[in-house]
Amino acid sequence: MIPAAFDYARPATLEEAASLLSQEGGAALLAGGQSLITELKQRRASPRAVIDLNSITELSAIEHGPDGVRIGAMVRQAELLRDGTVQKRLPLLCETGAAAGDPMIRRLGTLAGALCEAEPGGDWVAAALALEAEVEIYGKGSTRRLSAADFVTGTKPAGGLQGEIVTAVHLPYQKKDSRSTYRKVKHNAVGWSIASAAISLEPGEGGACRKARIAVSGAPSHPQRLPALEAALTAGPYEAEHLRAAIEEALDGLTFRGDHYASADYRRTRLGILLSRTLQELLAA
Amino acid sequence: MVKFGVGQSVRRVEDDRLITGGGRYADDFRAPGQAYMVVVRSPYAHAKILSIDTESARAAPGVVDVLTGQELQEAGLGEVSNAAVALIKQRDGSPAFKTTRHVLAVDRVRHAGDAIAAVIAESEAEARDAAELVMIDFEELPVVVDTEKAADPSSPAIWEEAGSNLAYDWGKGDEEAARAAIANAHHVTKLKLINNRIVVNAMEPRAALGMYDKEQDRYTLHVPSQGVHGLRDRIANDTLKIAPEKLRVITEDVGGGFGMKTFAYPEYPLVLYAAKKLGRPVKWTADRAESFLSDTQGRDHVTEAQLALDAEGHILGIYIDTIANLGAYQSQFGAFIPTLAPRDMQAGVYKVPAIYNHVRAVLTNTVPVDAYRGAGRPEASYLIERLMDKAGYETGLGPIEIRRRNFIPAEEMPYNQKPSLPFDSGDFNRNLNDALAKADYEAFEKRRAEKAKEGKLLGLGLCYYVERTAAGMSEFAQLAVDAEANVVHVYTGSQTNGQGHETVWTQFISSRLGLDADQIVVHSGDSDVLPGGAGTGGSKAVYMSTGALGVASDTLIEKGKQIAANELEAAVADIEYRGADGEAVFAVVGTDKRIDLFEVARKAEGQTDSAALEAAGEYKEAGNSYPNGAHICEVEIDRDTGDFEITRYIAVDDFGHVINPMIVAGQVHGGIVQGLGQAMGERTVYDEESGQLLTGSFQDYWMPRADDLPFFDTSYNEIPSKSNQLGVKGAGEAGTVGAPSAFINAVLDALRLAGVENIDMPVTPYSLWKALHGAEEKAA
Repeated sequence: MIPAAFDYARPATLEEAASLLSQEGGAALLAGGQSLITELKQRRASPRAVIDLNSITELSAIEHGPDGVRIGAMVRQAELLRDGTVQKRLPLLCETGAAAGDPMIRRLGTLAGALCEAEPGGDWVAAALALEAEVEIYGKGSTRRLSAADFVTGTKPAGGLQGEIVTAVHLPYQKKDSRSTYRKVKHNAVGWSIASAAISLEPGEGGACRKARIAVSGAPSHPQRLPALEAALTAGPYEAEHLRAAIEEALDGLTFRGDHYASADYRRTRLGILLSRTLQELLAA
Repeated sequence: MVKFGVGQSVRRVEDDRLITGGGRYADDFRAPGQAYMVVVRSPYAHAKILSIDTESARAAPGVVDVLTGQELQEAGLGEVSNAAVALIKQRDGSPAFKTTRHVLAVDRVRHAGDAIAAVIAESEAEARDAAELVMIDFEELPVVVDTEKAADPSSPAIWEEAGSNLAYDWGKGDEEAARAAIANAHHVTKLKLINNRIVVNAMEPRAALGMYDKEQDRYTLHVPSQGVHGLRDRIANDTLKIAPEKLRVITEDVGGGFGMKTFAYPEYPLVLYAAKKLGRPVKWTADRAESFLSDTQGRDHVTEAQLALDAEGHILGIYIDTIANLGAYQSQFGAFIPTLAPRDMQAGVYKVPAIYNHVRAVLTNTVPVDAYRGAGRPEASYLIERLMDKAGYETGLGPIEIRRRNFIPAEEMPYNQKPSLPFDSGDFNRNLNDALAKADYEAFEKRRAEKAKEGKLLGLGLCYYVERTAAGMSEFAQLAVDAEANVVHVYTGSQTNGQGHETVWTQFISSRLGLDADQIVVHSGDSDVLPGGAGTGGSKAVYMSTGALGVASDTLIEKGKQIAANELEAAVADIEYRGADGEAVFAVVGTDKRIDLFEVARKAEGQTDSAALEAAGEYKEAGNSYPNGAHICEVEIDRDTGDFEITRYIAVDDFGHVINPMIVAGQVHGGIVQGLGQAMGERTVYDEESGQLLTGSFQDYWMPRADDLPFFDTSYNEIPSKSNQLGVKGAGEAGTVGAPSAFINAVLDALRLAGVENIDMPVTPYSLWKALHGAEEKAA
C-alpha cells in the first residue's frame, strides 16, 4: 500500500531533529521503521511530517563502560546482538533478541524503538525491565533518564514524551553468576508473545536469591515486573508448592488481556505454567 | 535412451527463471499510458447505500474517472458470473435461488469488502488518495455470518427476495434406503462436525490489466487465472455481453491459485470497461488486505451425519445433513462445491449400500465461498474418515479393523456398485499396511506409555482418503516446430499455477519427440492460441494435457513423415520417427537414411500450405481417476498447556504411474501442509455483531510455517489407472484431502485418554487447552 502524503526531513544532528520536532506539530520520528512504516502504508497513521533519524550518526554508537553499556537509539537490533561484549555480559538481552521478530526486522529495528512502541506482546520490553534498563531522553536542550519501569507504564506515548527524542538505552551488565532466560509462548500468526517472561536471578545463600528480577509480557495489559514474586524469591528457600502459590499471588495482581485467539484465562494459565517451569529450571541449575 | 523422460525426478525447468526474478506475473505487465484503478470497498458487512458522492474524488489530483454501479448498469454491463447455480435443482424440483451480483454494488452491500466504486488515476498513489474522498452514505442493516444461525428461519434474511437465507435445499441419493439402513442398524454412529472456513492466501495477489483496441473492437486482459478460456467466456458472456472472440485473456506465471484464481471477479470486467471508456489501459492490483476481503474463501460447512452398521461392523448406510455457507453471493462455482463436486465421495473407499446427502446452502454477510484445493472432496473425505474412526471406537473394532472390513478389496477391482465409487483399480489394504509399517504402528503403545510419563498425550490417527479427479471436458494442445530457433513450442489449455507443468510437459514431449529439455519451450495461457482449454483444477492436468499433447505429437509426426518420405525418397509407410529412442529424426525403417525434425520443418515451409510444421490436438477424457492412499499422523499434546507437535506423518499414495516423482512429492507435501493448515490453525473469524472479518491480516490469520511441521514420509504404490492412456491418477489435491482427518483423528486419539470425545478444526493450543480444561472441570 501507499502512505498518505507527508513532509519528510532527514536531519544530521540531534539538535536539528529536536528543533524540527518542536516546529512540526504532529510529526513522527522514524528510527528503524518496523512499526511506523507499516502504520503509514496501511494509513493507520497519517502524520503531517516524518523526521528521519537515520542520518544522525551520534545515535548509532554502542559504548561499553565498566558496569554497563549505552546503546544509541539508532543501533540496529542485529548489530547489538552481534556485539561480543553484549553477548558476554548481557546474555538475557541476546536470548530475548533471538526470539524477537525475524532477521529482517532485527536488521532494521532498534531497541529504543521497541521500547517506545512498548507493544503489550513485545519481547525487548520484558528484557529491558528485567535488566533494569534506563531510557535516555533528549528535549528542550537537556537530557533526562527514566527507568524502563517508569517509561513503559501501559499508556501512550511511552515515557510521556512531549517533543522529546529517546537518544539511548542504558543497561547494567548482568552479574557473572546470574542465571537468566527469556521464555515465550508465541501468538502463532504474528509471533508476538501471548505470555512471556524475562528472568534474571542472582543465587544467594541457603537457596534464596540474592536478587531476582522477573518481567512479564504478552499476557498482562502491558509488560511489567512482578515485584511480589521477586521478593518471595529473595525471602528464602522455597518448595515447588510455595513457588506455585507465590506465582498465583503475583498473577492475581495483574489484569490480563484476551481475544478470540487466546482468552485472558488462557494467557494467565500459560504465564503461570511458564513462570513455574522456568523458575524451577533456573533454581535447580 | 530417453534424455529427459517420463518416470524420472528431473529438476524443474522453470525454477531458474522463477527464483531469479524472471517470472512474468500479471502485475509485471505494464502498458504504455496505463492508468491505475483502486476499488472503494464497503466498510460495512450489510448496509443500504443511500448515496454515493464522487465529486471530491473526481476533483482530486491525477484522477481520471470514478466509476459507480449505477453507471455500469446504465452502460448495460451484466452481472458477475455465477454460472453453477443453474446446475442445482432443489429437492422439490424448483431451481435454486440465484443471487445477483453487480460488478459494483448499486443499492446494497452484503459483505465487508464488497466493491462499491472504482477510482482511476494517473498513479496508484493518486488513486488511493482519491479513493478516500468517495463519500458514501450507508444505512446499516443487521448481519448474519454464522453458518448454522443463517439457516435459522428467525435470522434476518440478507436476500429478502429469497424469503430466507436459504439459497437451496438439495439432496442426492436414496433417502428411503438410507433411513431404512439407520432404522435397521445394529449400531449407528452419529457425528456433528465443522469444516472450517479458509482464507486462500495465494502468494501472488490478484491483479488485472485491461486494454481495448478501438480499431479491432477487441479487449485484452492480463490476469492470473487457472484457465484463460473459461475466464474469457464468463467475462464475455455474462458481464461484458460480447462475443468471446472479442476478448483475449492472457495468463503467464501464476503464484498459486488453489481454485480461487479460476473465477470471474468483479475487478476484471471493471478494468476492461474502464479501458474502453477511457481509451487507455487500466491496471488494478490487490493488496493483501483486499485479498482477504475479495478473494473467494473455502469450505465452511456444518455437518451432522449418521453411519449405520451391522453386527459385524459392515456399513449399511450413511445419512448426511450439511449446511454450507456460500457467503454473500454465489460465486462462479459456489453452488457446485458442496453438492455436485463431491457427489458420492462420502462413500470413501468402502462398500456402501445406501447414502443420502442433504445439503442446505445459506447466504451470509461474508466473502463468497468457492472451490479451494479439493473443492468439496476434502469435505467429503473428512466426514467419512471421522465417522469411520468414531465407529471403530464405538464398536470396539478399532479404526483399522473397521476400515479393513469395509474396504472394496483389490480382488473386486474394477468395482462398480453404486453408490460406492466406481474404482477402476486400487489396493487399499496394501497401502494401509505399508503406512502402518512405516509408522512403526507395532510400537505405538510403547511410545504412548513413555510420553505419558512426561505428562504428554500421544495419539495416532489414520485416514484412508480417496479423491475423484475431474473428467468429461476437452483439453487442447498445440505444437509448433520452430526451424529457425531449433525449438518446439508447446501450448496446452491447462496452465501452471506453480505446480511444475512446464517440467512435466517438457518431459512428456521429450519422451515423444526425442528432444532435449532446452529444445522445448512451454507457453502459458493465451486464449488466442488454442480453441479452448480445460484449465487447472480438479487434479486433471496431467492426463488431460498429456492426452492432448499426445494427439498433437502423433499428428505432428504423421505430418513430418509425409515430408520426410519425400526428402528420403521412400514410401510414407516406410518412415519411422525415432523420438521414443531419444532421437529427433525421421528414418527409413531398417536403414541409416534419416532426416532431422528441424530439417523437416525447414522443408515444410516450402512444401505445405502452413508456414511451419505444426499440429493441434484435442483430447476428451471420459473417465475420472481415483487417487487414494493411507495417511497416518502421530501427535503429542502437552496436557497442561495444550501445546502440540506432530511427531510422525506418513503418506502412502497410489497415483498410478508417476511421471516425475519429485514434482509429485512437491504436490503431496504442499497438499498435506494445506490440509494441516486448515486442521491446525487457519481460523477465519467474522464478528457476529458487525460482520467484520476479524482475521483480516497475517497478524491475526495463522498460516502454517516450516517449523510447525514434521518431516513427511511419502511414498507411492503405483497401481495404474485404467481410465487414461498414461495410467496416471491426478495428485494435485490428494494431500489436502487426506491430511485434515489424519491429524484430527490423531488428536482425538490423544484426547480420548483425557476423556475428551470431540474437537473441531482448527485445533490450536488454546482450543486443546479449553477441551482438556473443560474435561478436568467436568471430572472434578
